[in-house]
Amino acid sequence: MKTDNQLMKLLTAKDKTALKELYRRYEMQVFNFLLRYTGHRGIAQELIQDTFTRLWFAGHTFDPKKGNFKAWLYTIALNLARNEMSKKEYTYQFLAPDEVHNYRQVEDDPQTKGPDAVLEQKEIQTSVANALGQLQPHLREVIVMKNYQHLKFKEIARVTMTPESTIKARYHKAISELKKLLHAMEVTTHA
Amino acid sequence: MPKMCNINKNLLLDLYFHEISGKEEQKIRKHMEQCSECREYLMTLEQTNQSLHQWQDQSPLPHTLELIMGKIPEATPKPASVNLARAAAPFIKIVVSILAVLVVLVFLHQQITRFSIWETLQDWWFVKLFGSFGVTAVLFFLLGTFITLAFSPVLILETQSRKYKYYFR
Repeated sequence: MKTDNQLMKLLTAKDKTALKELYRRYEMQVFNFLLRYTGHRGIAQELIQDTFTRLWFAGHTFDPKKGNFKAWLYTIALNLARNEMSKKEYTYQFLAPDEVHNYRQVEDDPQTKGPDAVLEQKEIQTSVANALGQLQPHLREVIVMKNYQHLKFKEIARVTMTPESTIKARYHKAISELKKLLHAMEVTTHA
Repeated sequence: MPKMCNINKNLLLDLYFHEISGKEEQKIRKHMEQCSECREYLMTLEQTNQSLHQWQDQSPLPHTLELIMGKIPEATPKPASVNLARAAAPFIKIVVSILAVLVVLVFLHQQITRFSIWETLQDWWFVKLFGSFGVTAVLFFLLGTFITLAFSPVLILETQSRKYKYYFR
């Protein structure tokens, strides 16, 4: 199995199979990052296409010495998302998966969970999304990259081009705000 | 009133996300045995993380890859040809600027040497040293400096007003 850097070399030589392989590896991560950051499935769907199209055209600018491929890919996705959110009349408005045709939720099977549990899950999910949506974008991007995408603080600092100490300060602030928001929405964990 | 913990909370983040060295981990864990504030903060991190994970992953539309491949051209694009005119533009600008300065200098030189005072200045050591063209160049430089200094308050005020316009927009 080829590494990301090897695939990037092939992609720079305009090998389409390399792009397909990279897409298969990162489609879920990039899509869910965009979805949670923008709060719009439609926008996330458009942006994932733009991200991988840009990857194809700007592949030659990737330098493995400056950082890993994953962080570089997130940089592209984040810049596109920021650009999109700044140029349109945009509101963070999350819709549960069954409200949008054709979208499939991972681990969302009524046969194994039961319809009530699935419904409750969707309500909690919408509440979490609403809480995230109330955060300022620069706080939300840190939470999404850390808690969902599991990037290290150093990687987030590189992706956002912000000092690591600032990223951590933003994380503290975001956690403090989320705690209040989730408490107000009565989102409880099953821990 | 409980005593406020003075430990850097960033260390708690590093501990929670396993981005801490073994030595520091031991130190902070020892501290946490006595500090309820830090234990509470770590609990908050855990609870918030668990709440956030109620929002499960979703998949993009199944035909997304086909849409991406459709945006990519079939043929490999040719490398961009070098635009000679564009590449040479900075050099042309420099040459034109030098020529313009030379033309102005020649013109000034002709004008200056017409004055009768020039005859008396011929014996001055400065003119002997640099020649009449050198003196013209120095005069040209002084004239340029004078004009720049004369207009600088206007330019500074203009820049400042733009800056404040931007700040208070």
